[in-house]
Amino acid sequence: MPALIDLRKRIRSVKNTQQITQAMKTVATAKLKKVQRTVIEARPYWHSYPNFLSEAAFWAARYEHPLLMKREEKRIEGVIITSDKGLCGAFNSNLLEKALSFFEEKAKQSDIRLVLIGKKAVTFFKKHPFPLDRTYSGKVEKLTPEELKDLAQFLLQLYTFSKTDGVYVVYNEFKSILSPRITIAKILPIEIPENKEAQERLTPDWEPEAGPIFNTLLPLYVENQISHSFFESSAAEHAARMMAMDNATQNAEDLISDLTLVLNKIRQASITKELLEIMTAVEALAKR
Amino acid sequence: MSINLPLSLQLRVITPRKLLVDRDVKAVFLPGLEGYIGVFPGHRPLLVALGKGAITYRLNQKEEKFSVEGGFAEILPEKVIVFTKLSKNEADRSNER
Repeated sequence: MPALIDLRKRIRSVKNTQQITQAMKTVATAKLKKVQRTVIEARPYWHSYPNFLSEAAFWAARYEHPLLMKREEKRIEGVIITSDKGLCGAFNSNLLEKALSFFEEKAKQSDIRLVLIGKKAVTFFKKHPFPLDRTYSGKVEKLTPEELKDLAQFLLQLYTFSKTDGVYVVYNEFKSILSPRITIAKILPIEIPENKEAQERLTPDWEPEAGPIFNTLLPLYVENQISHSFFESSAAEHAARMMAMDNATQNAEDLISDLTLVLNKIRQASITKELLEIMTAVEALAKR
Repeated sequence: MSINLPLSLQLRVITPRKLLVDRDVKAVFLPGLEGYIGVFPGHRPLLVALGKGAITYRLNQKEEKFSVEGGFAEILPEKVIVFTKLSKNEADRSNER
């Protein structure tokens, strides 16, 4: 029979843990609200930009831009976005598993190089033999727009100078609070969706020529896609942490009630035992 | 020449951070790379790269403007879609609001 004092200690420590998880949940909720706002406010952009791009590309069909040219995928650059901190359920592990199997499959035909964002990805890929180009670890939450832009420039250069033949981004998309969706997106070469609407319209004028327009239009698209996946991932991270901490708080609650039940049983048993002992003693004395 | 020219333009200014403007306007003035472009309803289709400068749009009586750093605009007879980035000062100011 476990001693009362041990049980009390255990209950106290579970309660402390519960307080911590609850605080973390509150923090994650607050952060999520903030990030969620940026993600949602950015949505109009994500809905209209590809459309715009496809219209532009339709009209400029004869124009061949290096970022649109498809090549055989001999070298692939992968960008994997995870979080720095844990305690967010299967958020990172699911993503990393998926990314690993995806790139191992690709590695059969091509050379893979990786860009890792987030401490979790960095520690995970220490065990796997992929060469790394860049790693961002320990300050993911504070990545500035300039740093993201710099990363985009780096990827664009790799592609234009034929150092790589395809760029994939693996990240958690913020689908809903309950479940993130693991997304593998090919960002280079840029694939332009079909656009029927454009075919019915008048041919537009260009100012300046189509060439210079595409020279800024396409890199901007890639840049934005990278920062977009980054924001999606951070929203998904906070949502995942919120859910995980909510579960943990719930579990702690269950554990506390179980332990309290055991504690009370033992306490009552010992009281009954003590009473019995006293009674027997009284009886014995009375018989004399 | 078509007679039913639209009377107003639907202006949408979209930045990666936010849908900035979505309303009907009488005219828009955009900072093109080679100078300002005035757009009135019924403009012919035009794709234009934008430089640094101010976007001004005219409502019935008043005008409103804000400054941007580059981007693109797609101009159609009844619609203007602008993809752009707010200039740094402007972004700070709209954050404060």
